[in-house]
Amino acid sequence: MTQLIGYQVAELASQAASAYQSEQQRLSEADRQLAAELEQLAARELQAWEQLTVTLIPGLVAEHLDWAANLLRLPAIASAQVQARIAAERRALEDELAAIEANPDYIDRELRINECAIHIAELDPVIEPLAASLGSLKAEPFFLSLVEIGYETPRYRHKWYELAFYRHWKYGDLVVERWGEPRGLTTFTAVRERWEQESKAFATLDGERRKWLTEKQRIEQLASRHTQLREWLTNIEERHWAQTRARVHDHLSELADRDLMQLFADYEPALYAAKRVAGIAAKRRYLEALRREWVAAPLAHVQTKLSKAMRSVDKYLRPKHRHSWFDGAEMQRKFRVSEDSWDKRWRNLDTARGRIVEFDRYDDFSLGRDVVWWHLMTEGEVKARFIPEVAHYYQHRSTRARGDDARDLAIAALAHEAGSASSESAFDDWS
Amino acid sequence: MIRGLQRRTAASIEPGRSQPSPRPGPKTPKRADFEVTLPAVISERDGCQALARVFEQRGYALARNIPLELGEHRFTADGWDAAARVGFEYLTHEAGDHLDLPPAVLARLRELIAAGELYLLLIDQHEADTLDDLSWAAHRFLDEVERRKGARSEGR
Repeated sequence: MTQLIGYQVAELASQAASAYQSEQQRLSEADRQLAAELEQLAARELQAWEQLTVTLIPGLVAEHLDWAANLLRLPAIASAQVQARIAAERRALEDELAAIEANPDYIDRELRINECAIHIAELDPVIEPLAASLGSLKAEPFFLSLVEIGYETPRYRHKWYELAFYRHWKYGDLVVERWGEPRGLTTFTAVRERWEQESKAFATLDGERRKWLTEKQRIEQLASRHTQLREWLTNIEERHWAQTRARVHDHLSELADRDLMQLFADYEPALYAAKRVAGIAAKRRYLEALRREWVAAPLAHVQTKLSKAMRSVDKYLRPKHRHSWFDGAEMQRKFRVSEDSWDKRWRNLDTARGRIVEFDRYDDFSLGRDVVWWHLMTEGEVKARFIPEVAHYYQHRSTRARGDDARDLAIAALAHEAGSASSESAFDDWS
Repeated sequence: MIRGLQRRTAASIEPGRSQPSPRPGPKTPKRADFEVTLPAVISERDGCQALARVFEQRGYALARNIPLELGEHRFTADGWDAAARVGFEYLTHEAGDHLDLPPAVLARLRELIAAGELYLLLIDQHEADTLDDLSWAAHRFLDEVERRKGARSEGR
């Protein structure tokens, strides 16, 4: 029986860790690529829907609308209803426009905005120094507190034998020195009186400025609303066309893929567009499943194995194990990396993903035949049976093929024919 | 120098008071001594030392931690000149002084100070920004004590 010494086991664990690390990086990269491809497919699916709805509603022509409403069983897109909605909106827009155009504020808007701007411009240079002066006084420590406690007024309650009295004295003097004296004010009372006068003046002037600003904004909003209403009137048909297509999209997106295509079986242009919608949706489904089963799940598994292998390296290098003997076969088995199964998975993933991403023969999907998009895209080269529709399809097909095979054999036996070709090779890995 | 420190007086802030003497003391405070800061709270030990120094500079014979009887109330003054009946009480939370001076005791003290029976500087620890501020306030307080004592003796 082969025996391995501890540090040889650590070497085996290290080799396994290295393999897991490479696999982890490869899977992470594949995950990023699949995420990007799925994002592109989502955008392409929306484009496909746009193509389908434009095919069904090429414009707001009455006969197109009525035909589509009938085909889709969607009365809301019938010409009469669409035109009624357009007319209602047009009336509302025109009424609002007329009201604005009759408004004297709108008629004289330039004059009034100008008037507001002049008033604001006159007030600004008066308000700004006041605001700066009041701001600097507010920033003085204790100023507001001193005002509040009535320092230098009969309201002041602190006594001469309390430290607070001297503290207020100190801060009061600081305010006078820093703010009052540059303005020729030598007492806190004078500073406070100036503060009260300036605050009052500021409140009055700022209130007036706000009034003019509000007025200016109101007239500007009126003008802006007028421009918007004009624009909406100009593109009213285009907007309703887009809204109608959106209704069609909402209505059709409730249908299963096959029902969607079946609906347009007699109208080739829409059938092609519907096949494209269904095909791209299938691509998204398949890539999401591949990402989940062949990338995300193995990635989680490999991460766990990598952590275990790294812990084993540490373990077998510890003095306790480093020079101990271990069963070689068991250790080989413990740190065996199943690279063959990884290779098989990568081959399957690369093949399936390549075929799916590159596929563009949407028109090949035949409603009459028992086929799934997967088989059409991959030509059966890979069978991702973890996807229910794929599993069901190949199971059904296998059963049918075996049934055909049994029937063939019976016919052959009856006909005493020997050497009929085995169909086993055709099953590939279906079972 | 903060001009107000000399110009202003307790009397000028409390309406009806006359002007006290100019600021005495060995140190003329400089502007920088009164920077407005928010220092850590001054401990009772440091605060009392600074106050005691000023009182002694001004000629008071200060004893520390003296129990005072205020009629039915008692409390311990942190600094007290029994002959001059002048002292200070540093109110800190650490010494439990806020508990020692309940509202009734404080009210009695105020009455006695107003009547000129005694003079006690009351310092709330949270009102003291710096030790220099504390010293300066103590000088201003003693100026006012002397002015009041002078006024009382003139009145007799």
